[in-house]
Amino acid sequence: MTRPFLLLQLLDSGGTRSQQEWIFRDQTQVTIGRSAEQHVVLADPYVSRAHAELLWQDGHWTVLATGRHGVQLRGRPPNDEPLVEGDILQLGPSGPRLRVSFTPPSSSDVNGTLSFDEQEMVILRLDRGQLEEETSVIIDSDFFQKLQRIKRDRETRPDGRSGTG
Amino acid sequence: MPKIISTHSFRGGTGKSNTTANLAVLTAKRGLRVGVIDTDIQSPGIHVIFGFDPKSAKSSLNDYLWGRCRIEEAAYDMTEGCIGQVHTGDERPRLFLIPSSLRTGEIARVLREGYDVAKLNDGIHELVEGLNLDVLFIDTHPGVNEETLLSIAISDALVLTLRPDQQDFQGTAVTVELARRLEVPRMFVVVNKVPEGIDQDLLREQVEAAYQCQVAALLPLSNEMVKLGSGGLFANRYPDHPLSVSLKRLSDELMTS
Repeated sequence: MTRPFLLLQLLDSGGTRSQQEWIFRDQTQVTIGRSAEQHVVLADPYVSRAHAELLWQDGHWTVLATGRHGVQLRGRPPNDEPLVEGDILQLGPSGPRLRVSFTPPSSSDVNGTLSFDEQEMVILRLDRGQLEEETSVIIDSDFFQKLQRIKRDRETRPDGRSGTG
Repeated sequence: MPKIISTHSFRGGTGKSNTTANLAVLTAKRGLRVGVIDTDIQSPGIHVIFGFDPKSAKSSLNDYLWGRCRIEEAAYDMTEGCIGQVHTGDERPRLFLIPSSLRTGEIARVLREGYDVAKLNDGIHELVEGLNLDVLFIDTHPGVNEETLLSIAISDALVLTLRPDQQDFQGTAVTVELARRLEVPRMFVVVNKVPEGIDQDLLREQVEAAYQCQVAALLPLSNEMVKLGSGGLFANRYPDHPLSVSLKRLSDELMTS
């Protein structure tokens, strides 16, 4: 079985760059929170003293919310599903965000300590579920349907007017 | 055939209005009659970039929407200040601005009562016809609301501005998808405010893969632009700057059909 490895990156407010990172090797439990005894300490008002735990079981990592502010994974509270490379954990409704990775960075040999990411690399991730949800709400609206009619009118009426004025 | 081009961004602060204003000027300088309409009624701003004094506006887009004037009466000829002297009789180049009202009462009324989006649609077409425009740029309100959707729906091209930032990236995907559903013929994705030293190929790759369309321009974050703020037309002030060159190229692309 593969040995546990976990890289957590704290994303900046734009959500693209790593501000700080933590690497854990051969560790099966990683705790996150505001208090000093956590493995990952985040001094943020939206973070509970003990906020979340990452657990290594059956060859994969899962996340468990342990504080009252909750965790969002792919737009909803986690439900024991295995984390996948690049998943983003949102702590609390508007707290910090951590990116999860299982690939050791080649340039780094730190262990459980923080290091700064000097690479100017932008990581953009599209949440397709969220996209679909947001888009379908708009597409199903009366207004959107009306627009599609205006558009058809425009194609049939050379002056492009909506004919309602 | 006149062209209607909407510019949109999912969030504020992407540089959408600056991009629109500069594109409009660069497009007019090709010898065209260009209009710019500020449909960002809730937070108007593009007039500042053109150096337009709102006090000199007798009528605005709001007056048209409330039925107080014809839309052409809310159009102001900005050619001299933005392009240079043109003979009085010359029809081209010309640049017209249709501002939104800055009066808080007017803004509050729109927020309170809304307005008939069909009326905006009629106004846009009357404007193109009445001013005999070759191109009309519509500077939309950030986010997705009714007038944004209308502007997108009636456009021949949509310019989407975003920053290399997670929230912009996710939000813009919604507009891309909606524009596809509305069968907008052409889409131009502009990644703006790209900091120096960033892996541009990777950035472009990620955006193109996610949106399934080409990135039309990656515009650098420019100190000169930051300093200029919205206090003028960048492409006029710094015509040889890489940012102006990229905007010029984008204007070329918008005009090839």
